[in-house]
Amino acid sequence: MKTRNDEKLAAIKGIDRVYLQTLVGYLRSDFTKDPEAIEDVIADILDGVTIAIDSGQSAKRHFGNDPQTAADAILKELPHQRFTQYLGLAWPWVNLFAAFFFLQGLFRQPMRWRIDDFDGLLIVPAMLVGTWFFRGFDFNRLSRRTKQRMGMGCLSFVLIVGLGGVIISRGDNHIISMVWLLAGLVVLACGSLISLRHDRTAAWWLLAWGVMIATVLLGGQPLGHAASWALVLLNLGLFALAYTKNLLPQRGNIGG
Amino acid sequence: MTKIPSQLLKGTLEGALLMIIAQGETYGYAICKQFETRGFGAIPEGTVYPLLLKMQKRQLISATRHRSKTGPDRKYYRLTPAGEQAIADFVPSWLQLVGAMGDLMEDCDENAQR
Repeated sequence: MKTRNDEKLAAIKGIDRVYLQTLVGYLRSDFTKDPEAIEDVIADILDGVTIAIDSGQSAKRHFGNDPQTAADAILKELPHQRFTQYLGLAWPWVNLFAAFFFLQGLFRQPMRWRIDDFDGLLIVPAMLVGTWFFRGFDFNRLSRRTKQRMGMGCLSFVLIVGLGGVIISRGDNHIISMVWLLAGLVVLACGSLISLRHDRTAAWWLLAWGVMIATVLLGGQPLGHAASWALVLLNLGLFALAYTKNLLPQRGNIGG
Repeated sequence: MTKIPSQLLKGTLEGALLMIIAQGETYGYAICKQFETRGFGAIPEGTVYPLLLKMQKRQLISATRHRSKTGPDRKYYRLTPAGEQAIADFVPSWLQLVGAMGDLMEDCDENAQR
C-alpha cells in the first residue's frame, strides 16, 4: 500500500504535492502508530484530494489550512503499533549498533570489549530519538506543539549523549566479562528469532549471532577471532545490502 | 452566506455526518460536498476525516474500500445499527436545543422591540 500511495503522490504536481508530501511525511513519522493503518489513512486522503484537484480545488482548500492539527486528530484515532512491529522497525539498527560495538573490540590485542566502547555509539540512539521529536518542523508554520517537541528532542539528545556518556565514563576501561557478552549475544539472537516472524532478513542476523554464541561456548578462546571478524563484517555487509536494496523493514511493509 | 464559527459547528458536526451517511453509502469527498451544498459552508476534509475515524472506532459507521462507478477504488462509509441509534439519540437533543434557542431569541426580539 505504501508503494501505491507513493505513486499516487508522485502523480500530483506543483504546490499541492509539496503540501501533501509534508502531510504524508508527518503522518508516517509517528512511529507509535500502526503503519498499515497510517497507509490506509494516507490512501483515503490522497483519493479525496485527487478528486478535489481534478475538480479545480487546491489540496490546501480541500484538506484545510491547518494540516498538522488535522493530522494529529487523525493519528489520535489510529491503533498503536504492536511490539513485533516496533521490533521489526528497530531491529536492523540494533544489529548495526551491536556489530559496531563488536568491531571495536576486535581491533584490540588481546581482543577485549570495554564499557566505554558504547560511548561513541550513543550518537545513534540519540539521533533516532531526536528525529522523532523533530517531526512537524517542515510545516509552513511551526506550531507550539512542534516547538515543544523540538525542545524535548534537544533535551533528550543532551541527556542520552551527555548523561549516557557520564555513566559510561565511570566504567572507563572496565572490561566486559564473557558472561555479559554472551548474555548480550543471546538477547540479540532471541530478538532476531522474534523478528524472523515478520522479517525474513532477520534470519541472517540470527545466523550471525548464533554462530558467535557457538564460538564463545565451544571455542574457549573468547569469540574465536576469525569467526568474530567474519560475522561482524557479515552483519555490516547485510545491513549495507539491505539498505541499498531498500529491504529494511519500513513503515507499511512490516507484516503483523 | 454567513460562515458558521467552527466552535458552534463542533458539537453538531457528528450528528450531521451521521445523517448524511444515513442517506446511503458515501465517501469522504462526497460528504464534504454535501456539507457545502446543504449550507454548512466549506468544511475541510481535515476536519471531517478524524470524525469519520472516531465514528468507525465507536462502530457507528463501517467502511469498505471498493471500486467506484467512475473507476478508482474508494473507501465508502455506511451506517451501522449503533449509528442509527446515535441519530435517534441526537435528534431529540438537537430539537430541544433548537426549541430553547428559538424561545430565547423570541424573548430577545420582544425585549428589543419594547
